[in-house]
Amino acid sequence: MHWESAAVSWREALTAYQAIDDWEGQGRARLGLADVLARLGRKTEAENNLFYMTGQGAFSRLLRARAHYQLALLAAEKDREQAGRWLAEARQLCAPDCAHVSSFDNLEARLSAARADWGMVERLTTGVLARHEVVAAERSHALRLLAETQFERGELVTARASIIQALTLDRELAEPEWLLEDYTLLGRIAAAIGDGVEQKDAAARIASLCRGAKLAGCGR
Amino acid sequence: MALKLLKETDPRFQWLGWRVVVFGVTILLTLSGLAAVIAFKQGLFVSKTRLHFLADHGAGLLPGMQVRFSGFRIGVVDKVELTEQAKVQVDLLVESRYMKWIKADSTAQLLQEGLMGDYYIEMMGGSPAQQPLKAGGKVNFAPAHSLADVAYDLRSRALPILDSFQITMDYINDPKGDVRQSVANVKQLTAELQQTRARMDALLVRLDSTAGTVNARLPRILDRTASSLASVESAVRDASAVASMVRGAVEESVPRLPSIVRNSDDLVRDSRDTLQGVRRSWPLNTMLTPQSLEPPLPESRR
Repeated sequence: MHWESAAVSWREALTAYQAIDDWEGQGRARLGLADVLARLGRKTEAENNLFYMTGQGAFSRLLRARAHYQLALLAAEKDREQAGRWLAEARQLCAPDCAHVSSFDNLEARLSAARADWGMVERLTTGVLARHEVVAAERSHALRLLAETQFERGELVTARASIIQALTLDRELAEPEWLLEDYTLLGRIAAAIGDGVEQKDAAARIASLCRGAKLAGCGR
Repeated sequence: MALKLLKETDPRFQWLGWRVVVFGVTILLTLSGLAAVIAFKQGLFVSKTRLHFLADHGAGLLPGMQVRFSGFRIGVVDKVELTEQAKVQVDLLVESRYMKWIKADSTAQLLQEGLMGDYYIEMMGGSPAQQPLKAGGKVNFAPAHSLADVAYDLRSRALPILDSFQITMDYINDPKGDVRQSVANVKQLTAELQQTRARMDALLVRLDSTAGTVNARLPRILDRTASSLASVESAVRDASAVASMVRGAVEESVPRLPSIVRNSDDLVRDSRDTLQGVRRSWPLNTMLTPQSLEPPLPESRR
């Protein structure tokens, strides 16, 4: 319900900015609206708002870069190649002093992980983790991707350490879906190590999370 | 016959002619001595050097005026005359013993003692490195500012300020003006902030009750997980995560958009006037920083 209210507010802002011919404001309002629509599951509407921005030169390069990035996020699940193209355009528009490079790197690492290109994932995530100004959400995402890479390579001890670090951050961020992903990976690592207690603990936590929040990953 | 009788008989009139002559000479000598003393005091017997300067106007410049240096009398104005170029040439006689202070870049300024006192020439400046001015030399001249000049200058400076102040006051007091409208907008903003505060308080009360529920459930969680210290720690962390999640929901429920943007109808109607008014209105233009409507960057994990 809160997201519906937020969508209404962003739409009002968009209308107000259109009325005063403020394109920067319109761009920001469209980005915010697209984000909220994506959270509500109305991805087509979100994409339409973002598509409009990609073809409109009145928006600044930075706003268009963000539009491309959000399009890449929307396409990440269903069309990874298209997502990669959107992301490449976002990087080009955001260069040279891009403040969102960590988010871009993590998204590229996520796409690379889907292709099982673990070398690329490791290079990108270690780059993100080496930066000091990275926000907690991106740091935890990089740690989770790195843990997955290490797990796939059989580096179970380091993978466990990485996912524990990611879990520490995600508990602070309190995002149920991210906690579910973390505990799922921790359970797999614990199973590979042969730590039945930790595996059982992770399963219990996943069950608890699924009872507390309606998550798409709970049915898997 | 009668005078002859007196002259011959009254002893007071004996030698009367001589007595008159002696008295007259004595008076004459006394007056001459007095004149000499005055002349000496006035510097008539002191060696003097002639200097001159040119002025545009002769007002206040008179022969006999004092020439001063650092407030001490060092000479007099000897002659004031109009030149062929319609300038006023003023000749000064400066005592030679003071000429060491008068340099080529010295300036003569016409000053007045007090508001109603006599005018005099004040010699000023003079770089120590410069040579003393020679006889017949020319010094620079700076005319005095009369009371009328000062008043005129003051008037010419003050009038624009007063006019500007009047315009500003009219602008501020205009009920339909930008400032009044800006203040009204700020009042409206404040009222809305109070409403938001009230909503926040209500939501925080709900948060407290939620936290109370969490606290009530925590002992049961602890009972179930009392077997290991690590589990207890995890349970506490989970409770913290729940509280954080509830807090996040509360924060999200508060409209993030500035109220001025949410009230789009009013904004559209008055947007240009209001924005321009606030931009121009001091001190509002320094107090009201523009509110940024920056959408959050979605995390790469969404």
